Amino acid sequence: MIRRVLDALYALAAGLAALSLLGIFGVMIAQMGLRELGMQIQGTDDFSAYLCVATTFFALAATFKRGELIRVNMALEQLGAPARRGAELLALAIAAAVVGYIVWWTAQDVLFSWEIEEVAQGTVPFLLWVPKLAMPLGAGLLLTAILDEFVIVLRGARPSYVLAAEDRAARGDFSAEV
Amino acid sequence: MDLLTLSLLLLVLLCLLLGAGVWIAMSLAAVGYVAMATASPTPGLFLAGALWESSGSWTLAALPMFVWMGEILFRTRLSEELFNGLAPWVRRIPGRLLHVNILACGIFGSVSGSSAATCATVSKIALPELARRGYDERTAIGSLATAGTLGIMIPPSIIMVVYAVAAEVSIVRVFIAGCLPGLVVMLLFSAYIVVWALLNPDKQPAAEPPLSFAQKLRQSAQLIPCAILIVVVIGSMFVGWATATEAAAFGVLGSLVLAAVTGTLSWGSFRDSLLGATRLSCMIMFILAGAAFLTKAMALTGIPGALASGVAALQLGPYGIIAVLVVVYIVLGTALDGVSMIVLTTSIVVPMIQQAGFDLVWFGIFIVLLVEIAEITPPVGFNLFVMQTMTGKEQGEVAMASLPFFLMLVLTLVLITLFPVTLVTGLPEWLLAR
Repeated sequence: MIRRVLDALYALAAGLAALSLLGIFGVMIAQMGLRELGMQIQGTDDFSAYLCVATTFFALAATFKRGELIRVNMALEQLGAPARRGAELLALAIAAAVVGYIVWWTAQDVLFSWEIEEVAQGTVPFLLWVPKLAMPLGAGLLLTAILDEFVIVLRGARPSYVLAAEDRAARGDFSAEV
Repeated sequence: MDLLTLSLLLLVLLCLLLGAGVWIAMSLAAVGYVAMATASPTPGLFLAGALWESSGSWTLAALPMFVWMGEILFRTRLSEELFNGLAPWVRRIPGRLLHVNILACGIFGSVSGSSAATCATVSKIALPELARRGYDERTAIGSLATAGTLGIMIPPSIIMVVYAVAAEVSIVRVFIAGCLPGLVVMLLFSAYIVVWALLNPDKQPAAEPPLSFAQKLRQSAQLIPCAILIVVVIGSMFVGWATATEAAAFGVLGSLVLAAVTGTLSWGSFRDSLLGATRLSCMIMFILAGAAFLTKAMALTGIPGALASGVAALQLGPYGIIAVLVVVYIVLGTALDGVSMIVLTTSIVVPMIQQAGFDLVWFGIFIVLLVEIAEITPPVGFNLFVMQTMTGKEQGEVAMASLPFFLMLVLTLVLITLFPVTLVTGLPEWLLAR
């Protein structure tokens, strides 16, 4: 049950991120089209920047789960299964600490923007706490995914991000690389 | 604690974190925290600002657009069209269809910004076709692994966008600067194939029946949509009609049209390309965000400035500094991917480079060439990995096959260092000054 709820949450956030990316495309095309017609929409630069933040943060959990966030595997791959398990737990614990710290401070930042009703400096005074909310929400879901993996590894299974990466390599899918 | 001790400490910490398999963006943020803690009582106050500014900028919006464009084209029949359209024209050159590898990678590189995608897309069709016609496997593998890296040298290029954002230079300027070095790399690769073919006549397959000029033209007609896409996307940026972000969005539109016209656009492929682009963009922008915090911290500690004057005091001379950097990047490239290599080093290296009197656009091309080299150096060269999976060969074998082409990349590095204005900075100056 919890498994299904979590996976649905990751997928939902990834969907939001994808919609944000689609949004950047839509804004750009609309802007170019209207410019040809001699019209202008205000605030598109800021708006596409906010969508960029949303794309990054909402996709974090799903990207992490699929093993598409990059890390250096070289040393880990030399380890035997029991040592590897310990190393994965250590890496996950450090990751949880770092991401937890990010969640805390981005949430503080959103609260602060909300309290002082901070607005964008551009042509349209967007309320900044709204787009900033993507940071603590996305990072919070990433933290959930990291803890989720920690529990999976603790129970003795191999982490999903390793399995997913191996599966992609076996299929000859290289879309996750630059 | 003096700055030297602190820098060494941070470097050791970073190596430990990366070695332990902590995700790169998080390792960078963690090291940033430690560096910041030496200069400020509350490092967290700078964190949200750094993440917000680095992941949300209008310039950066070009990145997900170029990534998506590549993802769409990756799912079309473009690689087949490139192979069939180019093959008729290289039959008289020694080495014959092997030159298609270079040309196809170069052309795919001018619609895609990724080296792995270029390598995989072109190899998917070229490897079986060349094997069927009896071409030398080793040269085919080496040329494909290495020419695939043209994806990040010929604009648009994801690596160049990352560099331009990190070093705060114009994306379009770096794009234009990459054109001539990209052509030089292609020429050198083809020159090597010609020389190799003349020296090894026994390894050449039998000639194919001749085609008339009209037949050749008919076969190449399938390249027209791709050519239009290149002209529109790159052309609109170069003549100053569109910014990089607008050109990228236009490229996505063009790619969708191209996919629709060739019948490869379905709801499934659209969704897959969009989700794939989202995840790849997320990975890159999260690294940029983590690195932005580290960069801010480094600036507060004063390490980059001190290091720059320290290096200047060594009086290595400009070529000496370049030589040292080449070694550093080749070592980094054995373990890190291109994006990490760039965001990790720009904050430290850029002051040094400026002090030595180098142009930052030139340095961008220099670093992209080094990333290309890193892609084909073991143990973590991603293009080697792509070819390993596609051919079932050992990494060492693929690396050896790529060695002659690797040397051509090194030669290009020497050429752009000796002729920086002619090959790199001259073209953007001239185009953008009009």
